[in-house]
Amino acid sequence: MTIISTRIRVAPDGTISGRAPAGEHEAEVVFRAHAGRRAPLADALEADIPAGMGGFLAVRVRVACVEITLEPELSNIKSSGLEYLVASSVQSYKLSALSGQPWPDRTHRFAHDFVPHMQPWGCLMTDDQVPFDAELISNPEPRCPCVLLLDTSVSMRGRPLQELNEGVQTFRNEILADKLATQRVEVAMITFGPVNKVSDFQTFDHFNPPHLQPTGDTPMGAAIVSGLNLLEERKRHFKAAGVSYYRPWLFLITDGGPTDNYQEAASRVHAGDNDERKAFSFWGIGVEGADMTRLGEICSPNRPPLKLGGLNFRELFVWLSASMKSVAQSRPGEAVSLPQPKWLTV
Amino acid sequence: MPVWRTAYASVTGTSHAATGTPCQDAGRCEVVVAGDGTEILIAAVADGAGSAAHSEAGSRMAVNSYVEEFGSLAMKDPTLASANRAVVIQWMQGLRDSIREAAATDGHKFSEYACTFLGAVVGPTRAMFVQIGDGAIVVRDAGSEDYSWVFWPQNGEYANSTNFITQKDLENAVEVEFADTVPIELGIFSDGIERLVLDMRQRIVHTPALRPIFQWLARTERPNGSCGESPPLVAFLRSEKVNSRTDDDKTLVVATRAIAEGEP
Repeated sequence: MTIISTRIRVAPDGTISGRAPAGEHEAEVVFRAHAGRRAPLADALEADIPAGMGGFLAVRVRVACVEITLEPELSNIKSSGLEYLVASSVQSYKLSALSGQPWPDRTHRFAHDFVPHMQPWGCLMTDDQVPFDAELISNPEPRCPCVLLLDTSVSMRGRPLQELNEGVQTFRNEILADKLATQRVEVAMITFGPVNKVSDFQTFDHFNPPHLQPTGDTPMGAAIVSGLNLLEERKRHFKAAGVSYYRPWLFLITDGGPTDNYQEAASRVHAGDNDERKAFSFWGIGVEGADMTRLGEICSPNRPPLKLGGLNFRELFVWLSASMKSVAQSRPGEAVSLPQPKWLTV
Repeated sequence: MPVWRTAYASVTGTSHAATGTPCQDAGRCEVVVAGDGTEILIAAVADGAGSAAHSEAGSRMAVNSYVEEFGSLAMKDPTLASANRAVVIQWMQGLRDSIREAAATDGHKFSEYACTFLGAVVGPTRAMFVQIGDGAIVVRDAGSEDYSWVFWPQNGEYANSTNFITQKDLENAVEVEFADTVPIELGIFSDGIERLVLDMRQRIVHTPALRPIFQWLARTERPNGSCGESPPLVAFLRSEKVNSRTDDDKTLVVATRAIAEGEP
């Protein structure tokens, strides 16, 4: 028998989760409770603590790989819906009382989120045993801004634009599937040409991308400048409101070359996307037919343009959303690891 | 009658628990007694960088080294008159040398020990504060109702950037401050709970988040001196209330000498 130490959490819905390695273990869980009163140990567990018993109610839990057995002295604890997560190597476990009948025999499948890691268990304390009530503050979530600069010139008509429209929807759906990213990733959308701010920065729960139609020529330079200005304005807003943010992304997709002067765009991209300044990350994506040479002049030398394989917009936006999620949950000192782009031309 | 009551807790974030990563935070808090009976509080918290492979060792070394260095300085000189910025920088360079040695011995890179550092020494007449990186030291002076921060968390432009003791331009990043008004309460925490107790919009400490903790601390009968982890504080940091808001490692050190205020 090994006495293991780990932590058990009693959630408000009555779920108890603890972690233990496979094997034979016995552990003692100590509930702190005041003598002489009915102690709400958790919503799911209640115990009458007899006066004079002292401040602790010891609950012995035996974990025998596939069985959690509760000893008879626990018979005055009433249960309503308990779950123990015990080991990764077994498929099910059983909860039963050695004597007395307060615990119905139950067999459960393991929850999918079992974590095979040990935490020292010390004494268990539930939220209502924290002896003070700290009134925590809610701050706005840090934001992760992303500007989409999308080429909707006539050459994009037909399948390319259809695939692009679907790609943008994929982006939206992928971000919305992630709770944290939904709160943190902000998207703005500019199409060209002519340059049109389709939507200003908003989180994805407010983002309803319109169906893009083929329009004019390719004023890429003006579109980039417009995107950079929009971004600077957003940063000023964040600073004034005390909202922290991550390094923004500008994501340009084109199937042609600029039909306007792009010198200002190129010099601002170079000045902002480099290892020293890091004002944003500018990604230039060329679809079949794109002028990769001139796109290369616009992009920072550190981040040369990438070529989309075929019309694989779906993979492109899946990658973009995965990258945004990765940025949005990164913390100081953690490298942001971007997924492998599978949409590149080989 | 001891002057200080102290407590600390360091808890693995749910995201680190999920991946089996150890808690990369370290915290410690000691009360040393000088020859003349004066009590001096030494408290420190370090937060290991997430992607640095041995940052938990770095943060542990930083915290222990600080407590030893400034504990012995304070025992010899409880007025802290001999402490200054140069002494702090010298200590930090010495710490970096020890980390380099440990890294070389174990065949690791120096940068794999990256961690932030927050430290305080509070004597009867003078207090010293040190910070590199995020997290914060907060204090309350006698007569004040509110807590104030000593240094705002160092985050650069972006939410996911900060400074570490292993970085090249260490001297530019380290903030050191001395105060002749010594606080009656002191709290130090890592960035894991920063957003729960600091008002980021107004750049102030959210007093209602901390006041109940200090009031509880002032009421406890725990002997001071070397403090182990405090179970109620651990329970707080592991509570649903906290974990529903942060999945990061979190460390909190609290110390009060406002004992009378906690008395019923």
